[in-house]
Amino acid sequence: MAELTRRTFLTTASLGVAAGAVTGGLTALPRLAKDPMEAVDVAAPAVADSVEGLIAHVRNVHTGEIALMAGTREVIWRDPSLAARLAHMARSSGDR
Amino acid sequence: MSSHREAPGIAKDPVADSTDTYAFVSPDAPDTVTLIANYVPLEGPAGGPNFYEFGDDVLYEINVDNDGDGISDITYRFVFHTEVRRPDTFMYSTGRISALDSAAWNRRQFYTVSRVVGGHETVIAEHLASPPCNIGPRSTPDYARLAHAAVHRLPGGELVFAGQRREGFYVDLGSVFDLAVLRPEQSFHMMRMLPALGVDATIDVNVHSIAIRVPKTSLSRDGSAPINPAAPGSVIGMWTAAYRRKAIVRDPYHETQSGPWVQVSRLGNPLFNEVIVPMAEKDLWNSVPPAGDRDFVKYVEHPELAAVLPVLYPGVFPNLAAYTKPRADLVAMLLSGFPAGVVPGFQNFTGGMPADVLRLNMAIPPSSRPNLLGVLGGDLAGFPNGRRVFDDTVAVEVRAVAGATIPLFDKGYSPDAAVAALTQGFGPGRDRYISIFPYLGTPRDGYHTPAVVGASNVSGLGVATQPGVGPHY
Repeated sequence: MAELTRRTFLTTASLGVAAGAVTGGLTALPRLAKDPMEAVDVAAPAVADSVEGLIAHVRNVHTGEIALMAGTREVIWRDPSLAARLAHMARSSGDR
Repeated sequence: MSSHREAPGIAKDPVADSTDTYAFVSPDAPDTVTLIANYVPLEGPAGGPNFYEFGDDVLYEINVDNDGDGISDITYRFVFHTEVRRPDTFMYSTGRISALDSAAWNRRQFYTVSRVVGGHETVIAEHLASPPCNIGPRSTPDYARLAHAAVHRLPGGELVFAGQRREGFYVDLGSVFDLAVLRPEQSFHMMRMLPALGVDATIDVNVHSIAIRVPKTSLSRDGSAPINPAAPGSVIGMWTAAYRRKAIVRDPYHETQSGPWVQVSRLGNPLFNEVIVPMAEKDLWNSVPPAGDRDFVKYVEHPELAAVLPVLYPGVFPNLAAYTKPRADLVAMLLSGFPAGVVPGFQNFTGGMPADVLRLNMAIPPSSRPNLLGVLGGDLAGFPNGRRVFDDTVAVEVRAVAGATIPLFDKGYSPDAAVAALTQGFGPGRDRYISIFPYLGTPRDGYHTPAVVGASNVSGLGVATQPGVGPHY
């Protein structure tokens, strides 16, 4: 399994907010505009495509705890800013 | 039941729901041990067109602990995948299935088996065929031969089988879940009814079995074939567990599963989670390994059923009602094994770590005259020394909970007179099992089960229809 980078994670996790999760096959997905975290700026479709069943789960918006699952691995990230932003997007998408 | 639909959560997930485990010295190959894990409870044989199968998205394990710490030392792991020949038809079979590679078998299942030792997984065999389900005389006319062809010999000397078998566990479901009644004793129940014969509620259902026969030398901690029943190294603990991936995302045409395997079901001793663990903790229990059973010891020491029996059967269990000590006998039976000196000539003690595993003393040979009550019946080769397919674990455990085994650890206790008479009122029947691996019998077929009641010439053909006696073409 390809090593997951923070950049890949940020890209895919951000993209998954509307559905609450992100799955593999991320080619041609749109990038976020005016992203406050510059790391998200660079899409890496080649890497993302090689990740098996990539799913991100915001476990706790307040602590910023985000579980990233790929293959049989699970990595816990703590990024309050990203979690808050995802939560904001989720709320926004619910208003549409 | 033993562990069929025993917890609210897993009851909704039958392909991952372990129903029974068995561990015994193989009667026809006593240098080996047979380990069986059953899944998919209460298969109605006629349940088509999508007949029963293992879950392609479930990881199945048979675990063996050979040093008494409640942690698996040797794991046999099974992963299945399904192949469909013709996705353009709804039919499971498109003609007579005469062999495992028959073109008429549309939906076939295969599996990979691996052995995990010390965290290192080695694939033993891949693309092993499971047999089809037993459909009926047109689709599966010679089912026993099909199933026999699905017994595979592995490079390490193991035999392995994964597929449908007849349910080996026999129990009167209708009465035991109607306020803990055994029909022969129901005249003593607080809601009295006339005594009646027990009803075998599982006589005509099937299960899916994963069975592996392993040389003893591959299971013992020192690689020997144990011959001394008194030696601690002669005892192994066995349990099964099923796992699902942590995350699932469903789309209309695609499903993504990801993350670590999460344990959703496990089973060691029959009826442990079913009867001992309270409802609120059953699915939690299913999610933890045996090494985590310390939190459940209190339910074994003071089982709810032992408190309920004297209430439901007024005046029948006065000694049991008065007994308030922790149940050391049940802890030994279910969580630690029996130390030497408790039952003459027998021990299956694995130390101080409480863990619900089937404990088998591999040095005790198969019995030439098996007793359905196992150790309680003087047969040291039966439950709770492991468990054979025919052992009457319901009667054994009901008698034990009712106090039959208390004197093993508390000499001053006298079991109530009714305890020795507790019975389901029936046995497994004569044709339920086979004498060779995988020992569980040929599954009932859907054409003949359930049997037609009364005259059977509805079709005008006048074909006699009795269970298992149908026409063969």
